[in-house]
Amino acid sequence: MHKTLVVAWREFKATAMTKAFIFGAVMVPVLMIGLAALGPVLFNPTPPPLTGTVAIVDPGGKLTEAAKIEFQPENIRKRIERSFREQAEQVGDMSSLSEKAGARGEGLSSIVRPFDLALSLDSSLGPADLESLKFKLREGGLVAIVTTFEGPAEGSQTDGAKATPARLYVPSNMNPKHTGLIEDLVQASIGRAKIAEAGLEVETVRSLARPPNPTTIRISREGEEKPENTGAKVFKMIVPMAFMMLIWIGAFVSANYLLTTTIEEKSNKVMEVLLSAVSPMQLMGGKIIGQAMVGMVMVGMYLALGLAALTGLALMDLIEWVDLVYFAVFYVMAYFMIASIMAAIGSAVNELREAQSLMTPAMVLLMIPLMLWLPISDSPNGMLATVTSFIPPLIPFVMVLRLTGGEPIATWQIVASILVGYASMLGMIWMAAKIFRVGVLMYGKPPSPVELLRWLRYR
Amino acid sequence: MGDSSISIRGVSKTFGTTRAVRDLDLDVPRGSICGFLGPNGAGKSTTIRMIMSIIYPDAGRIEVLGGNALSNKDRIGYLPEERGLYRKMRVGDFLDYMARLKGAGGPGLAKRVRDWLDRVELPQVLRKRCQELSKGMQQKIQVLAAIIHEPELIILDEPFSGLDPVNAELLNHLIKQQNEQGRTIIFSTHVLHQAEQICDRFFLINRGVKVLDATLEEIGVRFDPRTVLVETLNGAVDFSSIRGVRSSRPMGSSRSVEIEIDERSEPQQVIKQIVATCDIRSIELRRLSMEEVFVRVVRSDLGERAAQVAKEELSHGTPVKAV
Repeated sequence: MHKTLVVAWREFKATAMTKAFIFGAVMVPVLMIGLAALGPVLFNPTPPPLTGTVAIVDPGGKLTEAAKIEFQPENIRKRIERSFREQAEQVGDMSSLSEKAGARGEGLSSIVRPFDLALSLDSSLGPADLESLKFKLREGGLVAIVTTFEGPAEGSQTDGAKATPARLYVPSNMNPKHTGLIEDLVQASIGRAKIAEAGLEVETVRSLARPPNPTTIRISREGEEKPENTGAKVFKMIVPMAFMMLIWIGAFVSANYLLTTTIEEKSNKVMEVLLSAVSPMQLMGGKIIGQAMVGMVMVGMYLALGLAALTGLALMDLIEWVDLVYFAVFYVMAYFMIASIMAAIGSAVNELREAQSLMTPAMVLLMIPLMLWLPISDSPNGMLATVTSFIPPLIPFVMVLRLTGGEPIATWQIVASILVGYASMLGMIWMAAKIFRVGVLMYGKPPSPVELLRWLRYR
Repeated sequence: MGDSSISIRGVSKTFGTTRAVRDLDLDVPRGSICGFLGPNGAGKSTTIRMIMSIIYPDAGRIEVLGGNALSNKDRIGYLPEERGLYRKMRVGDFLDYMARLKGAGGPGLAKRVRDWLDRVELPQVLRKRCQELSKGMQQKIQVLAAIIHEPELIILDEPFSGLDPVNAELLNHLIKQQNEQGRTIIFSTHVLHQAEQICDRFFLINRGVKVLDATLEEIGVRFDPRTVLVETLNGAVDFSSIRGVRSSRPMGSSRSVEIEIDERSEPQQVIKQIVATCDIRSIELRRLSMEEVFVRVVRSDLGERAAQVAKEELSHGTPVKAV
């Protein structure tokens, strides 16, 4: 065992204590944290400063009255905040944040920062002045022009101008956020004018037009009631996928390191030197353990990052501690299964290029869980999910998808899949050891998959 | 087993249709330096790999240090023919790693690594990466990796290949030193004259079959010298007409002639006749080289044709064709 650990430690050092690994496994998460921190700045919902005059040419005067209310700075700010909240809830990622901010009495102002906004309305000019207003707009003297009639080009004279839905004129270089904001404000003003024209109370109609969502409460078997976090719905879909991907990437990347270091030892012809000191089983065991440590560092980094993000977004209730236990159980299973395959392939070939033909069937097998994500997430207790929970290389991925999805899974299935999985894992390690023992000393033409199986029978 | 470090009985190994080793018996006495000689492809590396339990014989039995190589790995130092280094690893780390794998870790290891590098005149490479070393330097590091744990049995497969004469001499010295400290050493080579300088026992193998197993003294007795080197005062002379001379060959442009005496004649009688023929500056009855011993053994066992093939193989270093 001592020699196995010596091999494991060298394997870990040679892989994890390199600039490439440190950049990949440490810098990438750090960059992700940085990006998350910069996110609010990069995707700032607050528009840039906007000051100036909006001219309204509204012979009837109804729109002007409504616009005077809608263009008030306080109403503009409320509109921006509401629009942001609606978008965030659609994505599902910021509702808790906004709730938290609300709980602190900050409203969305902590997210939507105050911006320099000063729009004044000028409704003193009539349709005849439209051309001079357009000139003023081009010269930068106006922010926008709103009209509620067809211009002189269509009408013969001013008095004959026809009332039409409003038109909005803006400079060609106007910021899209500003354009959208003014469009919103004009639309709100038209709505307000129409509601008033119908003799109704504006706030009443608006609140009726936006009925609140029902509050969903989940009741556990034990009778515990927990209100569903609306923003959590999307996360609930993402969490199982994230767990599965973490297992897939963690196990696959570290097993891939195992493949490359094994091939390197063969192509550098250091293999026979090593085998004079350790048995093939000790060598393979040490390499697998060493890369398992590499994988743990990598997965640990990402897992910690994910948990920190969930804690920050107050979404930790999406994950139960037992999920982390399942994750660990199935990560170990997945890693050793993939590592066995990679160790066998790595031992059998002389160069990375030669590994491709043997890797293809293995890769096809490993891609299956990614394709099964949607059907299994949709129906965690369906036939497909249940059957694939007992097919060895798929077990860890399918089970993690099912177990972290929230829907209860029969205990016998959990226990049976763990037993079948670990038994298959041991079988795969045994087969890999057989192939490894023969393969490490084979040089020349790389074997076919059939020949690999034949090596299992070698003495 | 007795006083043997390695004992091989009736070992055979076949790869596909090639019989690499046939019914081999061998005993390597404790404390000896044994040369395992033969042309490339003779079966030396296959035998060594079987001794090391890296591959297994199809038939026969191998005993190493009273057990098998697997159970005695830490007592054996092995330099394989196919050898390499971790290209990106530092030399010091590599030697440290190999020593630990051989169960020779511990507090004094760093010092031992430095001492060994000093002994092979490479103290400056401790912190260098292996890929930065020349081929000769790498070879010395590989030899160190095989012996750094101070094993009692050292097996070196073609240790001299790729070494320049200065480094070959250094390695010769190192091997002798290890032997003087009581270690058993067996090394294979197809360059027979190198083995002559340091070995006290020789195993000659040809196409998987052992053709000679003897000490240097036994070889001296069995293969009495039959080559005479003559330097004349008056230019090259043809001695082939002298009775008992098989061949007479001038050596280059000098006045020296190499004379081979046939097996039925007495060398002393032939020398007397030579001296009587012309004025002689010097005359010497030359001991047979291992190469000549090898060719003669093959000739007596397998005939003239096989001897010629063996001779060619030795001079080319590779097998020429099947016998």
